[in-house]
Amino acid sequence: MTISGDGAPRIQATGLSRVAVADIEGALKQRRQTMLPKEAHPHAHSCVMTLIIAVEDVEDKQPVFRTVESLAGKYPIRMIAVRASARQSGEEVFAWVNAACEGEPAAPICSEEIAMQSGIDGVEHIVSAVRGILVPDLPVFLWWRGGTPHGDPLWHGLRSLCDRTIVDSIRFGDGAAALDTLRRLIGIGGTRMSVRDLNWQRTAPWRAAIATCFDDPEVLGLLPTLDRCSIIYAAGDERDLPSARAMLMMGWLVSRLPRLRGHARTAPGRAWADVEHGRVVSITLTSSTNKAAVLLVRRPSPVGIDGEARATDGSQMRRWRYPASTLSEAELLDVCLEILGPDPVFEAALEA
Amino acid sequence: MAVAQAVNPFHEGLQLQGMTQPVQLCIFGASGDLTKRKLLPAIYNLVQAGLAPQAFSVLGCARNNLGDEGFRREFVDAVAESSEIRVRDADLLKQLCEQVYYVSLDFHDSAGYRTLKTKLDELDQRYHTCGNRVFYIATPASLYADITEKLHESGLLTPATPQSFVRVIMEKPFGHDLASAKTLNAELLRFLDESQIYRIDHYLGKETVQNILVLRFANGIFEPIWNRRYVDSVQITVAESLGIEGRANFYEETGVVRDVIQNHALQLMSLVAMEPPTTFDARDFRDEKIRVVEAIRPIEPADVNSVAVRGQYGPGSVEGERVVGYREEPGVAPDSMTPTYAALRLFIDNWRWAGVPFYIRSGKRMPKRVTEIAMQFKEAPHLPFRKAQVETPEGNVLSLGIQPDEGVVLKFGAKVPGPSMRIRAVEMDFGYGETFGAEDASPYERLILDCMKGDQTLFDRADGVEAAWSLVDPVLTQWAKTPAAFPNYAAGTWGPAEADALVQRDGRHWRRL
Repeated sequence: MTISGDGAPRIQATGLSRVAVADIEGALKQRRQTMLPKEAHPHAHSCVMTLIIAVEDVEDKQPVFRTVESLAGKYPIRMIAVRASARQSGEEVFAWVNAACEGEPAAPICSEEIAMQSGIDGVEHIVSAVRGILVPDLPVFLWWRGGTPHGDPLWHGLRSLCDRTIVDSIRFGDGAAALDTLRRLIGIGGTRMSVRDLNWQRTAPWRAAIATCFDDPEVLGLLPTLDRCSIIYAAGDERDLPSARAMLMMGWLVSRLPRLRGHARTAPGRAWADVEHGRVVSITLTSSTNKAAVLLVRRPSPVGIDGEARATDGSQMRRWRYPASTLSEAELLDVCLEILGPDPVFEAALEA
Repeated sequence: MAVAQAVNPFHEGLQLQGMTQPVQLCIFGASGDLTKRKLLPAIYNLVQAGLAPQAFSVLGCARNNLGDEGFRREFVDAVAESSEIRVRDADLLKQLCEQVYYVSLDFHDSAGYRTLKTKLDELDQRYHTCGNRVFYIATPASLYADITEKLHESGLLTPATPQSFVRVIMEKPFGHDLASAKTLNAELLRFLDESQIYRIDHYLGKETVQNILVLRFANGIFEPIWNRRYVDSVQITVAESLGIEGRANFYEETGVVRDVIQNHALQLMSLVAMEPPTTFDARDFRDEKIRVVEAIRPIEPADVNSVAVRGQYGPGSVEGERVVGYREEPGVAPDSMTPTYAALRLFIDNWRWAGVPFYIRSGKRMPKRVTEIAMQFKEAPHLPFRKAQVETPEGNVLSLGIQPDEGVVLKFGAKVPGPSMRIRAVEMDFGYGETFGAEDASPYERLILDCMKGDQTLFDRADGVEAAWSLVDPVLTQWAKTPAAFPNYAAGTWGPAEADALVQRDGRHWRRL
């Protein structure tokens, strides 16, 4: 047991160690007991969910575990990283386990880490192994940390084990195809599946900023006349496909204000080449009948959003500054884990 | 200008971010202890968590001549010294302080309120807070009525537009007894609608107190056994290891019944005993909570000695250190009759709880700080293990820990491994901290936010306050008439022997905590 050097009362195990698949439960139990300090409750073992993480590369598992471990103070999780490698032959499943504890030494919050890997022919065995180590009766999340999952045998095997799926549509490429993948995952028009998207959560500061602008009754009074919308996203080249994030944002605006349909456009903003490709850099709501407008523009430093409302004669009515820090992958994951029910607003944005 | 839409269509789905309407928060008693220790850190935390509205300003007022800069320095110091700050962000604090102002105000001076109104109007224009105001009255309770009247006279209690709101938060105590509570409520209701009044009992803002409701009403297994058929008795303990911590003036006037029993302990009792509300909205929830208090069997003056015990600590030892008795505390009268301990045996006269005693105890200088509710279940009707050695002479206990160990523990009997039948009591232990490690928001954060959102669910209503006073009033009256043989328990013990007798008369005993 070691305490980390940053002063945080973090207790760590010695790292992943190889075990036989059949011994995973026993090995975890033994590690928990080894790690828990004497003053901890001897049979303390809390868990709130199983999180299955499909990683693209076996080398991914350590950074992914670190990402999830950073949430360990909030969620005692059993996480299972799985990988079926096309580069590996054979059906054999290799497994590693670790347990990590965090928090006050007397009452640590412990998470369990399991990694499993096989060749592409071993998918069936991986799925059966995962099925056997799910924490009974608790929610199961699948974090699909790869590209478009359709057609991937691991995806088809794991999805039946899960209550909810977390994806990052930024990994699905750009343009309509990314949103189509999301729609197919959710099963819009068919059997619904509960899906969370990290990329959707990246739009949250913009959505919050827009919502806040219209908290002001005078600005809210402009709303009936606002019927056009333009979203600019960072791009290196005008030929780049529309950013999935900008399209999600537009879908949200149109779903909230259906009259924008037909007068909404996304456009690449080459002047923002230094900003990560695909990020929303400005949103403008305007009127076709007067000079009323609500404009929001990304502010680079300190990172935030500047807002302005213009009255029907074009005069400045309000100005705002919103903080909008860039969320890490762990923070985005945290938000996705926090949403317990369906997210009809996200689904409406996709359908719009 | 087009007519405003009634509803902002962009809010849906953003509830998790706790968005609220633009608002200005005006604190009366801004230089006081509560403001420094609780309110300012809570405001910072709300802003840091993104829960306060963008259009937001804070105006402190008190008699001192602090000025804007002085109050801002106090804000910075309060955040620096608070242990309740989760993320320290100097830039954010600096930015927030630019939205913080101060007005020196004599609370009895009408002219001062006109200055206050001018300042609030000016800040409203500057920060576009749409005329929405929350007044937090963190002053001695004796000033509530006067401040409210002056606010009314200066027009500050009238919403500026049909869309805007004015709300007033008040700290307990709400009165000193039933008569004063009724008078205070009547005075407040001359100038305010009940929907504008937010009476804070910070206990209701605690996560674990709210978890009592979740445990009861979101789990199917508990409610069927949550009644007289299965519950033998209920014990509610609110124990403090601390003494009065230099607050002799306050405590001499208050005592344990007014400080804890009339509010915190009865809140816990009503949450644990209430019927399921139809919804968790303010009206349904508070209706049910108040019904329980109203159903508690009234204490007749002649019965006070048989259902209530009072105590006052003498010298003793707490947590390994010698401590003085209450009467030796600085500022306390040497012949003080103020109780620092009280125990009550109460009954709720309704179908669910008929005949089930609720034992409530609270005291200062107890062996440790602990607040819990323990549901003692009846014993199994028949034990078939005739030759078994049984170490569980009593039934199961479900204890709900409120502080410091927040969680739920179920005590039950289990077979000791081995060839013979031996039954031993074991505990199944759910600890909040071991499962949800995230630090809780302080009760004040939650309650200020609820007020800004217009949610009165976790605040007291006038009839609830009066119902609680009606229950304890006969006890206070009777005790005031008859002197007690104080001190009658040593600091560091669980209270006077009479309190043990109160429970033992029923064939029970206090839980060993």
